[in-house]
Amino acid sequence: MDDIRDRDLIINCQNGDPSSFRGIVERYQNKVYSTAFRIVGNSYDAEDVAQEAFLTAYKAIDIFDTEKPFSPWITRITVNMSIDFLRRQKSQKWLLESDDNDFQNMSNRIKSEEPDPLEKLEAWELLDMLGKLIENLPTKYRVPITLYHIEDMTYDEISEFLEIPMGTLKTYLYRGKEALKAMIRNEIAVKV
Amino acid sequence: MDCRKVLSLMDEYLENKLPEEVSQEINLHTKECVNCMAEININRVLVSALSTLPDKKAPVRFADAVMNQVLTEYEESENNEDSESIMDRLTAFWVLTAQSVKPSLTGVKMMTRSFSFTKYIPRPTFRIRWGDDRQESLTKLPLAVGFRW
Ligand SMILES: [Zn+2]
Repeated sequence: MDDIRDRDLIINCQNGDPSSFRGIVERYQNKVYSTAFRIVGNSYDAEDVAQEAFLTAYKAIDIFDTEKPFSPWITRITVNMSIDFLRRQKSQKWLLESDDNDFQNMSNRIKSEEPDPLEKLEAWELLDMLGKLIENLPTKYRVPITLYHIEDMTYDEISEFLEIPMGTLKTYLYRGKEALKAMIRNEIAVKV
Repeated sequence: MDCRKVLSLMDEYLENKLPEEVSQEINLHTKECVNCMAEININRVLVSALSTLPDKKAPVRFADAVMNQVLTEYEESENNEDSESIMDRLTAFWVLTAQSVKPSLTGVKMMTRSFSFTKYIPRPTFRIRWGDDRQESLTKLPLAVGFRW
């Protein structure tokens, strides 16, 4: 139903009624903003990038195939622009920041603890914590985790996108999750 | 299979991407090893939580800000026919250069009529037609090429 509405709005845009685009923006703004936020890592830049993503989609609206769903298309544009933004911000080396030791220590520290507090967490508590903690991950873990686990991209796509070898990508995904688990355990420890 | 190996295959295991025999080996291992069992369970929970993470709320008046830009863009493209000639030349140059790299390329069509210098490096959208009827659109223009017309 919503997809049909999208299609009508987009056809209107293609026929020269730009105000129809508002319905599209209103439907996808949270999704686009979240994706941008989780890649660029802060609200200020995320807002800029998200705006730019919608504007890019609008400028290219004539070539959008209305037989296809809009969501994957706008997501791809957003991911593209967010990663582009990071590249311009942090030079080419942004994926190689050296912060490994902190996070490795963090996950090693609690390895041998007895019952894992993480297992007792309610689903909503976990979601609540994750939503915040993922923002504190270093870029090189946050971006792969976002693309793989949240945006559902494949290993191949991501390693091409980020221009890193598959092995490196898998290492980042693994370490990122270890870091997240460590952060969640810390959070629980602080609360108790 | 030892713990190290099990943990290194955990993601693929959880996504059912491993060959049947390997999955079976992991099942056997976790029957005996509580640590690996716990680790796998926790990861399963974490990964499924990540995939259901709710969206953040876009800032207030976000849609207004976007629509302002969209309407400006629309007006500029209505009024400004001159920019096309510059972009045509730029595009033509880009096609020539690109063809020397990818001979199967037969045509590039500029999709945006106006060209505004935002705070970002301008990224017009192109539709590319390859020799074998594939089409794709690009928002990336090699900048070094793009600015020499
Ligand atoms: Zn084990």
